[in-house]
Amino acid sequence: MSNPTYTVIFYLFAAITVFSAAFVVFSRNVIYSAFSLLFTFFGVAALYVFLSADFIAVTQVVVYVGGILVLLLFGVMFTNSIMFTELKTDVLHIVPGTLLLFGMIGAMLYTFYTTHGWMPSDVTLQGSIVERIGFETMSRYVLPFEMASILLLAALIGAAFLARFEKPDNNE
Amino acid sequence: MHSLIQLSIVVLLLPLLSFVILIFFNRRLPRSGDFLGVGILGTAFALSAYIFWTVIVQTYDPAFRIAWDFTWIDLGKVPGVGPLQIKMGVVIDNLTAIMLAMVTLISLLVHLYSTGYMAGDKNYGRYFAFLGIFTFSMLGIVLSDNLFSIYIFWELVGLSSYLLIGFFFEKDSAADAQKKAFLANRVGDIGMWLGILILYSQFHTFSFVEINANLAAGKFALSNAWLTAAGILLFMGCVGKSAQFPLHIWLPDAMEGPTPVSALIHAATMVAAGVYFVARIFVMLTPDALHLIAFVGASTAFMAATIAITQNDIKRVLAYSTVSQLGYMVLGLGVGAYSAALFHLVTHAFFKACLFLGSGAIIHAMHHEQDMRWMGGLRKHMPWTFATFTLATLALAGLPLTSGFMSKDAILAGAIGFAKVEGGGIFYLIPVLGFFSAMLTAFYMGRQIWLVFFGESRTHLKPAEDHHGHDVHDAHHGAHDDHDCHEEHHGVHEVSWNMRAPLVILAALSVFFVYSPDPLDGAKGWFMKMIQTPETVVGEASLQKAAALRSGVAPLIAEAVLPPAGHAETDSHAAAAAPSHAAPAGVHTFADPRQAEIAHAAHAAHFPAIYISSIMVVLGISMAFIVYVFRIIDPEKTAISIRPLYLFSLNKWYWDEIYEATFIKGSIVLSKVFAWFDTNIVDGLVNGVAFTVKKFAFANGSFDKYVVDGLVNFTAFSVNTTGAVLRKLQTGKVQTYVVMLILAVFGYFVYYFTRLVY
Amino acid sequence: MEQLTTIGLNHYLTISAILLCLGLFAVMTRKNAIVILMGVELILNAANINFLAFSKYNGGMEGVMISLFVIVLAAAEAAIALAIVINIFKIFKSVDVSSIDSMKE
Repeated sequence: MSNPTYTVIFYLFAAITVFSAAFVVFSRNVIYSAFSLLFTFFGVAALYVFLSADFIAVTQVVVYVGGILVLLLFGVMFTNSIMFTELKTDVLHIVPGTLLLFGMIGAMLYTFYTTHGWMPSDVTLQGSIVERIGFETMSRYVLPFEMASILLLAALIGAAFLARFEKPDNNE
Repeated sequence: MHSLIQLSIVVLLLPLLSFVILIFFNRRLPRSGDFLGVGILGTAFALSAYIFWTVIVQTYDPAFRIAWDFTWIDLGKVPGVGPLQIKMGVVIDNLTAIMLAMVTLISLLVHLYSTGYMAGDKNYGRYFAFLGIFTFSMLGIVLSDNLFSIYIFWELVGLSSYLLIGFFFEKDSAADAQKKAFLANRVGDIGMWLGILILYSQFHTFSFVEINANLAAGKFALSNAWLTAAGILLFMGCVGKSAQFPLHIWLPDAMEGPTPVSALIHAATMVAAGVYFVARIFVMLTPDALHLIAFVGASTAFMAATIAITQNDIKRVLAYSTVSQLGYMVLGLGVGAYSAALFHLVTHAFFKACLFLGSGAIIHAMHHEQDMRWMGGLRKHMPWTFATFTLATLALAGLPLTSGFMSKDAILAGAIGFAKVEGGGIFYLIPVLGFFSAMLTAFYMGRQIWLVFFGESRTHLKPAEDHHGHDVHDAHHGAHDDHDCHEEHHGVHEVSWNMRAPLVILAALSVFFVYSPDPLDGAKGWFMKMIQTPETVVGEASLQKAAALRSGVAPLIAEAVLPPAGHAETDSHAAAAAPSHAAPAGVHTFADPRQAEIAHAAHAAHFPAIYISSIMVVLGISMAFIVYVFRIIDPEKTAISIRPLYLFSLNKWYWDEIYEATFIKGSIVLSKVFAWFDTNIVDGLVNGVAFTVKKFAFANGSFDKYVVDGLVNFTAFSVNTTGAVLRKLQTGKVQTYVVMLILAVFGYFVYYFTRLVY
Repeated sequence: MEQLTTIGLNHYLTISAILLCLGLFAVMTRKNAIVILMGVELILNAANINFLAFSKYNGGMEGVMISLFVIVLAAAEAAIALAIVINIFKIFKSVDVSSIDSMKE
C-alpha cells in the first residue's frame, strides 16, 4: 500500500475521525458533540472501506448515522429544554481523566509499536466481501444471526416499555 | 366389686358433686342452690340408710367386713424404701355402716336446718358448698381402709373446717379462730403422719388389715417403745382433731362459725373423726399407749367440765361440754371399752347436734344474743326447742332412759374395770375423774337449762355497750336487721319447721329404745353387739414373738417355746378371768389375757357404775337446783368467796395464756434468736462471700473492660477508620468507578511494562 | 518514513486506540448522560476498527462478522440506553449523572 494518493486519503479520513471525535469529547455543547459525532462515524466508515469492509461501512452509515445518531439527537432534545437552557455539559474528574487519556494512549501506542509480533497473513481481504458475508451469515453465523434478531426484538420491546408515556392518573 | 362398695362410693362422691356445683354455680341457681345441697345430701342419706339396713339389720353379723381397693400410685422399687405402692380403698364393716348413716343423717339435718338459719346471708350458696366438701371429707375418713387415704381425708376435713369456722371471715375473731383451729390441728397431724411413717417404714403398707396382720405375726423389728411411740403419735392426730388436752384450745374458739356448723363439725362429725381414727388403730395400740390415752381423755373430760361451769356464752358451754364428752370417748378407748366409746360417739353425736341446733334456734330467736345471762324465760316462747333441748340435756347429763346414760355408763364401767385390772393406785384416778365430770356435766347443763328457759327474761339487764358490740356482729346477718334488737321479747318466737324438724329427729334419737331394749344396759342393744372390741394385735403373745424375732432366735423355736411360757406367765391373771370368759352372754371372749380381764372386770362393774353415776348425776342436778332454782346458795357470792377457783375456771384454766406465754412467746424468742443468727452470722457469711465475689468480679470486670474490650474496640476502631477512608471511594457516582476501573487497567499496563523492562 | 507512508496494521490500531481513549475520557468526565452514550459509541467504533483491521490482515471473515454483530448490539444498546436516560430524566428532572447518587450509602 504505498500508493501516495491512498495514503493521503487515509490520513485525511484518519484526521477527520480523530479530530471530530476529540471535538465530540471536548465540546461543551451537546448539540455540537452530536453533530461532530456524525463526522466521526463517516470517518470511521471510510476507514472501514480502507479495510475492505465495504458492507460494514454501508451498514455503519445506515445504522449509526441514520439510526443511532438520530436517536441521540432525539435524546438530547428530550432531555434538555433547548429553548431555555444552553446545552452545556459540565465535566468531572478533569485532571485524572486527562492524565488517564494521555497515559492510556501513550501506553497503548507504546505497546503497539514495541510489539513486533504482528505477522500479517499472506492472503489479506481484497475487494468486495458482501457475498462472503452473505455466505457466512447463512452458514457459520446463522445462530448468532438469529440471536441478534431476537436481541433486537427484545431491545425494541424493552425500549418501548421503558420509555412509554405514563399517565399520571391511572385509568385502565 | 360388691354392690355395697359401689353404693358407698356413690355416697362418698355425692357431697363432692354438691360442692362442685354449688361453688361454681351458686349465684346462677335459684335460692343459691340450697335445695340442691339438701337434695343431694338426702339422696346420700337414703343410700347410707340402705347400706345401714343391709349391713346392720339384715346381716346382723359382728364380723361383717367387705373391702375393695385399687393401686392408686405405683412408684415401683424406690431405692432405700423398697416397693412403694399407694393404694386407695373402701372398707365397709358395721362401724362404717353406722358412721355413714350417722354422718349423712346429721349432715342432712344440718343442711335442712341451715336453710332456715342462714337464710339471707350474702354467701348463702357458698356456705352449702362448704358443707358439701366437709361431708365429702368426713365420709372419706369413714370409708378409708388405709392410713394414707385416711390422712388425705383427714387434711381435707381440716381444710373444710377451716373454711367453715371462718365463714364470717369479715369478723376478726372468726378469722383468728379459723387460724387457731388450723394450726392446732396441724400440730396433731404432724404427729399422726410421723406415726404413719413409723408403721410404713416397718411394713411397707398403709393398709390396716396388712399392718394388723404383720403386727400380730410379731414382725415389728423395732423395740416395743417404738410401737408405743407410733401409737401415741397416731393418737396425736386424734388429740388435734378431737380437741383433747393439750390441743383442746381451738374448739371453743371455733364457735365463731355459724351454729349449724358447730353442730355438724364440732359436735357430731369432725371431732368424732379423731375418736373414730383411734378406734381404727385401736388394735395396734400397746398397753402403755392406751394408758396415756386414758389419762389424756380423763383429764380432758374433767378440765373441760370445770371450765364449762362458769362460761356465760351458750355456745361456749356446749363447746366445753363437747370437749369433755370427747374426753370421755378417748378415756373409753384408753381403758379398752372400745364399743362403749364408739357407742358414746354415736349417741353424743345425736344429742350434742340437737343441743347445738337448739342453741342455734335460741340464738336465732334472740337475734344473735349468745350470752345466757341475758336470756331466760324462753320456755313459754319456744316450746319445741325447750322440749328437744331438755331431752338432749338429760341425755348429755346421763339420766336413765336416755341414750347418753347407757353409753356413758358403759365407759365408766370400763374405766372401773380397767382400774381394777391395772392394780389400782393412780389408775383409780381415771374413773374418779370420769364420775366427777359426770356430776359437773349434770350441774352445768342444769344451770344452762335454768338460765335459758326458766325464770324471767333478763334481756333488759344487759349493759348497753354490750348490745352495741353485738350489733356489729349482727351486720353479717342482714336479713335480721329489720328486727329491733333493743325491743323486749316480742321478737322471740318459735323457729320455723325446717329448723324444728331436725331438732325433733335428733331428740328422738337420744332416747334409749333406739339403741337397746333395756334402758339400764346398753350391752343388750344392737349397737354393742354389732361393735365389739376387736382383738388386739400387740398383745403379749405377739410382743414376745416380736422380741424373739429381734433377739435373733429362729421363729420356729420361738413358736415352739414361747406360747407355753406366755401362758405360764399369764396363768395367774387368767385364773380369775378364764372361767368367767364365757359366763356372761354377749361378752366377747379374748385371747389376750389383759383384754379379757378388762372386759370381764368392766362387765362386773356395770351395776356399780350405774349406781355411782346416777348418784353423781342426781347430785349435779340437785346442786344446779340449789344454786339456780331455789337460790339457797347465791352463785355470785360463791363466786366471790372462791374467787381464785372461779377465775381459774372462767379463764379456761389459763390455757390460752399459758400457750401465749410459752409456745407463742417461745416461738417469737426463738425466731428472734434465729433472726439474729440470720442477720449476723448467716448474712455475714453470705455478705462475706458476696464481698469476695464482688471484688473478684470487679477485677474480672476491669480486665474485661480494659483488655478484652480494648482489643475488641481497637478492632472495631481500625475497621471503622479503614471504612471511613474507603467509604470516600464509594461516592455513588458511576464515573468515579469508571475512573478507578481505567486506573486499574492503566496499572496493569504499568505492571506489564515493568515486567517488560526487567 | 516508510512506515508512515505505507499504511499498515499499526495505523488502524493507533486510530482505534485514540478513539478508545477519547471515548473513555468522555465516559469518565462528562456529566451529561447523552455525551456519555456518545463516548460509548466511540469505544464501540474503536473496537470495530480493531476487529476489521485484524480481519483484513488475517484474511478471515471472523472480524467482519463480529463487527457486524457489534453494530447490531450498538443499535440495541443505544435504544435501551436512551430509554433509560429518558426515564432518569423523568424521575430526577436531570441527566446529570453526578447528581444521581441516591443509592450511595
